[in-house]
Amino acid sequence: MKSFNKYLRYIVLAISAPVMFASCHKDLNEEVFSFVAATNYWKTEADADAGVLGVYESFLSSNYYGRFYFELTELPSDHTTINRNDQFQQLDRWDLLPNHPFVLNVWNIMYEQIGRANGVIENVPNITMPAAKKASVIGEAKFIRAFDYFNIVRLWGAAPLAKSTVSNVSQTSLPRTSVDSIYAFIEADLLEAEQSLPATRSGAEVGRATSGAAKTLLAWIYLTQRKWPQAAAKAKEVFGRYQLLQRYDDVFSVTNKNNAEIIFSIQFNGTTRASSLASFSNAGGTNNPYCFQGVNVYSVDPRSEIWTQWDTTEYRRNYSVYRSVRGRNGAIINVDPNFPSYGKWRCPAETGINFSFVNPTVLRYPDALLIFAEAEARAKGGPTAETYDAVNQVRRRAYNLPITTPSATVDLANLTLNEFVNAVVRERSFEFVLECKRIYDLLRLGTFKSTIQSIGKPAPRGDLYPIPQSELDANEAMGNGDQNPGW
Amino acid sequence: MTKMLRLLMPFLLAAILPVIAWGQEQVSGTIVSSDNAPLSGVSIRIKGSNASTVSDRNGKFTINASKGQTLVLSSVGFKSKEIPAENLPALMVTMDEDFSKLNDVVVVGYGTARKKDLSGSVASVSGQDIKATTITSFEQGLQGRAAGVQVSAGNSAPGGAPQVRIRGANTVLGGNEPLYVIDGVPVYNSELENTANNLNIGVQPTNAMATINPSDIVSMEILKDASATAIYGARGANGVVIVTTKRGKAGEKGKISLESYYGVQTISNKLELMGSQDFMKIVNERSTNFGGQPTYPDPSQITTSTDWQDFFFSSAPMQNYSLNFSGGTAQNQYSVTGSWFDQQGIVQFSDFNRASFRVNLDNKLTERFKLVTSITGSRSVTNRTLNFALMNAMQFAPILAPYDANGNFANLNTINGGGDNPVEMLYKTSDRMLANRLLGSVMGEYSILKDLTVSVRLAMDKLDQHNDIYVKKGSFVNPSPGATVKMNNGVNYIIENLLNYNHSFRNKHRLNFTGGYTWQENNTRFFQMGGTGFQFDDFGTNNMGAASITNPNISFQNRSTLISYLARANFVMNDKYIFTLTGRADGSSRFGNENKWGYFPSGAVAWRISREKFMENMNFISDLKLRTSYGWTGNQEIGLYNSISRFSSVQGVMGANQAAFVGYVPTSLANNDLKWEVNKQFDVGFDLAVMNSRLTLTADYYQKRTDDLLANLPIPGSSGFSSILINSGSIENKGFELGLGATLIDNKDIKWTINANAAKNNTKVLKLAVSTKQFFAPNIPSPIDRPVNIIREGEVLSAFYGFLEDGLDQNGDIKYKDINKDGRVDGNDQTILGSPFPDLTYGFTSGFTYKDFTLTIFFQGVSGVKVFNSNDFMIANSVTRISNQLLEVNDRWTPANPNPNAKYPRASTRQLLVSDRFVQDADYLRLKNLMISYNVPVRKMNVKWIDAVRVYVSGQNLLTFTSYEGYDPEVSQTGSNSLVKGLDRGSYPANRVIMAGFNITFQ
Repeated sequence: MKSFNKYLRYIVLAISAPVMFASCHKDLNEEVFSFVAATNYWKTEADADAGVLGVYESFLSSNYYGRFYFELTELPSDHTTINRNDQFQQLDRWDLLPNHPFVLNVWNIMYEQIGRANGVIENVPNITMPAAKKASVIGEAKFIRAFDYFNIVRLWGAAPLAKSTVSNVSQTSLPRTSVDSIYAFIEADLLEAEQSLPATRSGAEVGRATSGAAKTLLAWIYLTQRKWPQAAAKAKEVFGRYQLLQRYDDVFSVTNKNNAEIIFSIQFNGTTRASSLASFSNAGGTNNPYCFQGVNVYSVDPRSEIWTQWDTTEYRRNYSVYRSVRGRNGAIINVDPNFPSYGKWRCPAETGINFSFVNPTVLRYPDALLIFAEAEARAKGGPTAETYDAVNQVRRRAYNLPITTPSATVDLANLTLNEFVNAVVRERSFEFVLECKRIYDLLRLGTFKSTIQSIGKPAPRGDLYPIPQSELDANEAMGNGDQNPGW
Repeated sequence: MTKMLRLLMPFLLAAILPVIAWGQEQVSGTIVSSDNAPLSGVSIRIKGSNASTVSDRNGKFTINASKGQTLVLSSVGFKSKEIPAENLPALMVTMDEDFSKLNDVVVVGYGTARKKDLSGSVASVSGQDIKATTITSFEQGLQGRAAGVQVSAGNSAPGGAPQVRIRGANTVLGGNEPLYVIDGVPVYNSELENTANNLNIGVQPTNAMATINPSDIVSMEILKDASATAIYGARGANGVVIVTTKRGKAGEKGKISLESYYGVQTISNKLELMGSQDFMKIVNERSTNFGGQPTYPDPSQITTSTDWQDFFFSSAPMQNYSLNFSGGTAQNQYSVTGSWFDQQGIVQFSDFNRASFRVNLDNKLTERFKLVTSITGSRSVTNRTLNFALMNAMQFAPILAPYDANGNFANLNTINGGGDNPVEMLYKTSDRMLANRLLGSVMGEYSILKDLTVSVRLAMDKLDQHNDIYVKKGSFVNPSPGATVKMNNGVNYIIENLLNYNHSFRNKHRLNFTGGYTWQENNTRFFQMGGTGFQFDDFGTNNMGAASITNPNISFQNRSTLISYLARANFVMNDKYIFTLTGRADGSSRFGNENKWGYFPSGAVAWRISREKFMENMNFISDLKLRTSYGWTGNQEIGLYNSISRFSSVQGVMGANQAAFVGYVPTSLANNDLKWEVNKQFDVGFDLAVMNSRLTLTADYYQKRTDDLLANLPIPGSSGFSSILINSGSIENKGFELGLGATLIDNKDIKWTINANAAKNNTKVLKLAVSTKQFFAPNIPSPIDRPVNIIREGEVLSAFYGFLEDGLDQNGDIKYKDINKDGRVDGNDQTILGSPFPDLTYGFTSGFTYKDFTLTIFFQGVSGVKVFNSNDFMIANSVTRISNQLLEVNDRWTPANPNPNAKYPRASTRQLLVSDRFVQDADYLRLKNLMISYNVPVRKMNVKWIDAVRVYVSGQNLLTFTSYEGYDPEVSQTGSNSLVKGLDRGSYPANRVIMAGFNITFQ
C-alpha cells in the first residue's frame, strides 16, 4: 500500500496530463490565412470598389465572355457552325437535353454575377464614403445586373428574379418571374444607373460602366420590347458622345482598345486574364497571321446570309470573314470550304491559343445608330432623314467611304418601312458578326425558326433555351412543369 | 513556449524519476534452438519484476536475480519458457520453435498485441515479401499480398502514385486512401497537385509515400475492421496501414549489411499502329466515301513511315543500394540505414531517384525509462513526361518524320495534317519534382508500475515539394514555352500522451488497457510563380526575373488541427474469450461549428474454440478462433475551410493601361453542420490453423456502410451559388476475404510454402444527396469533352456511362441503341457500361527451397473491372479526326467490302459517341515476380567476417494475361481522390524488368 501511495502522484499526473491540454481546444476554430470570412468584408470604400470590380470579373469567366457565352449565342444562330464533338453540335442543331452542361454553365455564371451585384447593392449603402462614388458603384452593379437579366430573359424567358443576396440554403429557391416583371425590374435599375454613373471614364477606370452604356443598353431593352419611341429617344441620347471610327478594323484592334466607338466592352489583357476568341475564330494553324494558332472552332456557316449574300467587295465583309489568307510563311492558307473562317477577332501577338487579349464588344456606337434607325422608323411609320443618316453612316464606313459624305452607291434611300427595317436588321447582322447579337435579333423578330430552317438546319424544338435541369431539380419553387415548351 | 513546456512536462518528469535497484546475485546461461544454434536477442525477464536482459550473439546472458525467482525467456518465433533462477552457468536452455506464430507480436494502433489475443481483422505483410521487387514506394508492395487490400499501379511511371483501397471505396468526395502510420506516427499523404476533386489529367500524380525507403521496412500491418481501426477515429474509415521499420536487436553484435540490385526495364507491349500506306488509304476513304477527291492521290509517292512510339521508348536501368548498420546491447540498440535508389523510365526523360537515411535508436536510460527514437530523412526527385506527349505519339501521322534533312526537329505545325512535333515536345519539356522529407519522432516511455507505463511522443513530419516545369522554345505550340515553379511546404506536429496497463491474472486472464490524448497540427504553405518570354533557354526555372511576361503569382496557407482522446481495453479470459472495446473522440478544425467533435466506438468479441475442452482430442487443430466486431470510424478528409462562408480575391483587367485589378467576391455559403463521414462496419471471421500450423486459413465477411457522405448538393444556380457541401448520402461495401497459408513440404533439404489470398468486394452507392439520384464525374478533356463516369444510386461508384452500339448501318456508320424507345437517339439513351473497380482481387505466392536455392513465384490478378480507353477515341475511330489508327482498324466497313460485321465503321467525319466500344475489359492475371535466390554457404566456407550472402535474379511482370488492348490494364489516370476512374489517356505503359541483386551481411 505504501508503494501504491508512492506512485499515486505519478498516476494522477499522467491522467491529468490531458486536462492540461484542454486549453488547446480553442485551436479547433479554423484559422484563415488566404481569404476573408464573408462577415468581415464590406467595411471601407476600398472594399466597395474591389467588391464591384469583383462583379465585372464574372464576365471574364470561360462560362461567359471567356468562351461559352459565344457557344450559346452564336452556334444556334444561322451565322455560326462548328466542327467539333456532339456536345457542341447539339447547340448548333438546337437539339439538346435540358441537362446540357454549357447551358447550365452560362445560366450559373449570369446568376453568380447577379449575386455579386446584389452584394454590392445591399452592402455598399452602409459604407461611409463619398456619396457620388457610392452612387456610382451601386450604379455599376445595377447596370451589370440589368445586363444579365436582359440576357436571361431573352435566352430563357420567365426566370427566377434574385434581388438580394442569400446567406443560407433555405433562401435559395425562387420561382419563375414573368418576362414583364423582369423587364420592369431591369428598366428601373438602368434608369437609376444612367443617373448615377459618370458619362466618361479615364485612367484606371476606363472599361467600367458609364451613363452612356446604361442608356444604350436601355435603348436595346426598349427595342426588344417594341417600345419604339422610348428606344429611339434613349438611343439618341448618346449621339455625340461616341463616334464611328473611319476604319472598321480599328474598332477591334488590340492596339486601339476602348476607342471612341466603344460604349462597353469586356477587358482582357492576355496575361492577367485572357480568352481563346482569336485562335478559336480563325483557321489555319500556327501559320495564320491573325492569331497564335487558328483552330477553327467557331466557323462561318456557309449556308448563311453572311456567306451567301454579303457583298464580297465590302471592306467590312473581307475583314470579318474569309476562305483563304496569306500565312505567316507567305503561302496561301485555304480554309476547309465547309467551314469558312471568321477574321473579326485578331490578336497576332498572343502567345498561345488561350492568351487572346481582344476585348469582346458588348455595346458600340453602331448599336445606338441602328437601334435608333429601326425604332424611329417604326415609331414614325416610315424611315426619316435621321434614320437614313444613322444607318447610312454605318454602311459608308463598312465600305471605308467617308462617313458623313452621302454615297450614291451604298446609301439606302426610298424604302418602305418594311424594306427599311429589313435593311437595318441585315445591317445589324453584318455589322455585329460574331458579337453575340444575331440570335437576339432572330428571337425578338420571331424569325429564329424560319431563318435556321431556311438554311437547312432541322426544326428547332423551342424558341427559348431549356431551363437547366439541375435548376428544376434543386429549386423547390420550380418543377419539371416549369420547363420551357418544346423540351 | 509555455505551451510547449506544458506539453513536455510529463515527459520531463518521467525522465528524472529515480532508478530503483534491487540487491541480487548474478545468474547466467546460454540459450540455443532445437538444432543447437545459439539464439541471440532472446528476452530474459525476472517474473514479477521489471528486470530483464537479452541474450548476446552467442546466446549467452547474465542477469541479477534472487534465489527462488523465475526467469521468463521469450523470443519471437519461439515458445516462451520459464526456468527457475539458479546459478547455472553451464546450462544450455533449449527453446522450441513456435510454428503457430500465435505468440508473435503484431503492431496495432497505439501499441502491440499478441496475435492470439487479437479480436479484430489485421493482416500482415513482411518486409521480406516486398524486398527485391521493383517497387519505388512501400504501398506498392501491398499489391496481391493481403486479402482485401487492392492496389492498382495507376501509373507505371517512375515515382508514380498507386491507389490503395482497403475493403473498397468508402466515399465519393472525401479521401479514399488509408491512413499510413510509420513507426507510430500518422503521416501525411497529401500531394502537391493530387488534391480531392482536382482533375489533373495530363500530369502524372506524384507520390508522397515514395519518400520512404521500402527496404527499411520490417513489416506492414493492415488494420481492416472497425475493432482495429476505431482507435484512429476520424481517420480510420479507409483502413490503416501501420509500417514498422528495422530496429537494432538487444544483444546483437554490430552488423553491416549491404543490399543491392540492378535491373533493366523494357516496355511490355507496344501498340500495333498503321504504317503510311494503310494510313493514307483510310484518310483517302474519309474523303472518297463522301464523293470527295482522295487526299493522297498517289500514296506511292510517300515512302516515310514513322512509328512514333519508337522515339519514346527505350530500355532503362534501375538500381538500388542500401547499407545498414545495426546492433545493440541490452540497454542501447541502433539501426542506421543509408540508401540510394535510381530508376530511369522506359519513356525517355522520365526517372525517379531517392537518397534516404534512417536512424532508429532504442535507449534504456534506467530500468524504468526507455527512449525510442526514429528519424528518417529523404530527398527524392521525379522527372515526369507529359501524358499528352505520349498520346500525340500514338496518333501522329506516320507519313511525317520528327527530324528534317539537317537532323533538326521538323516544324510539323505548318503542314497540312500536322501538329505539334511529339518528339520535339518530349525533348523540350521538363517537369521535375523534388521532395525533401524529414520524419522524426522521439518517445519516452516510463514504467510507473510493473504493468503500467506512461509514454509521451513528440513527432514531426515535414514534407517540402519543389516542382520545376520548364518548356524550351520550339516549333510546337502547346504547352507554350516558359517556366513555372511550384512550392509546397507542409509540416505536421504531433504530441501523444499514452497510458498503458498490461496485467495478467494467474497467467490465464489478461487485461490490456491503453488510453491517451493526442494533438496534431498541420500547416501547409504553397507558392507558385511563372513566366514566359525568355530570351534563351539557359536559365530554366532559375531566373524568373528574366521572363518578359510574368504570370500571376499564387500563394496560400492552410492550417488544421486535430485533438483526440482515445481508449482501448482488451480483456482475455481464460485464454479463450477475448473482448475488445475501443473508443476515440476526435475534435477537428475542419468540422463546422455545430459539429466539432466526433465519437467513434467499437467492440469485438473472439472465441478461441480450440482452447475448449471438447476440442482437446482434435489434435490436428492447432488453433481455431471465431471473431466478430462492429464499430464506427470516420473520414475527416472533407477538405479545409469548407464550413466557412468565404470571400476570395479574384483578378481581372481594367483601365486605359489594361492593368490587373483585384476584386473580392463571395465564393461559398457557410455550413455550420459540416462534419466527418461516418463508416459503420460489421465483420465476422475465423482464423484456423491445423496440423501444427502447417496449414492456416483466415476468412472474413464484412459489411461497411458510410453515411453522412460529403456531397456537393446542387443548389439553384439562381441563388448565385451552384452547390454547397453537405453531409448526405450513403455508400456500401460488402465482401469476403480469404487468406490461405500452407507449408507443403518441410524437411532437411526441401521446403515448399504457398500463400494465397482472394477478396471479393462490391461497392454500391446507396443514397445520394441530389434529387436526381445521380450526378457525373468531371469532364474528360478534348476531344471527349464530357464525363464518362456516373455516380448513381444502386450502382458502383463512378460507373462508366454512355451509349450502347447496335452494329453498323447500311452506310457503314455506327448505330446506337434507342434504349428508351422514343424513336430518337439522344442523351437519354445512355446507360451503365461497367465498373472501374475489380470485384475480385487475388494473389498467389509459392516459395520453394532446395538446400540453398529458393524459387519464388508471385502471381497477382483482378477481375470484373473495365477501363475507359480514351486513346481509342483518337486511334481507333476510323480517322474522324485524321489521327493515326491501330492496325486493326483495317477491319472496317468500306464501299468495296461493305461488311456489316466489321469491327470499325467507315472512315468519315462523323464523330463517335462515348459507347461500350471504349469501355474495355481490363481483367488481368500477371506473373508479378519470379525470383531464384541462392544462399552462399559462407559458414561452411569458414569466412569469419561474413555472416551471410544471398544472391538472386528476378523478373517482374514477365507475363500478363489480359484482353485489354491498351498499354496496360492496370491503369487509372487520375489522382487517387478523383471521381474520374479507370481512365486510360496516354498513360505510362507497364514495364518488364529483369534484375540481379545480392545481400551481404558482414560481422
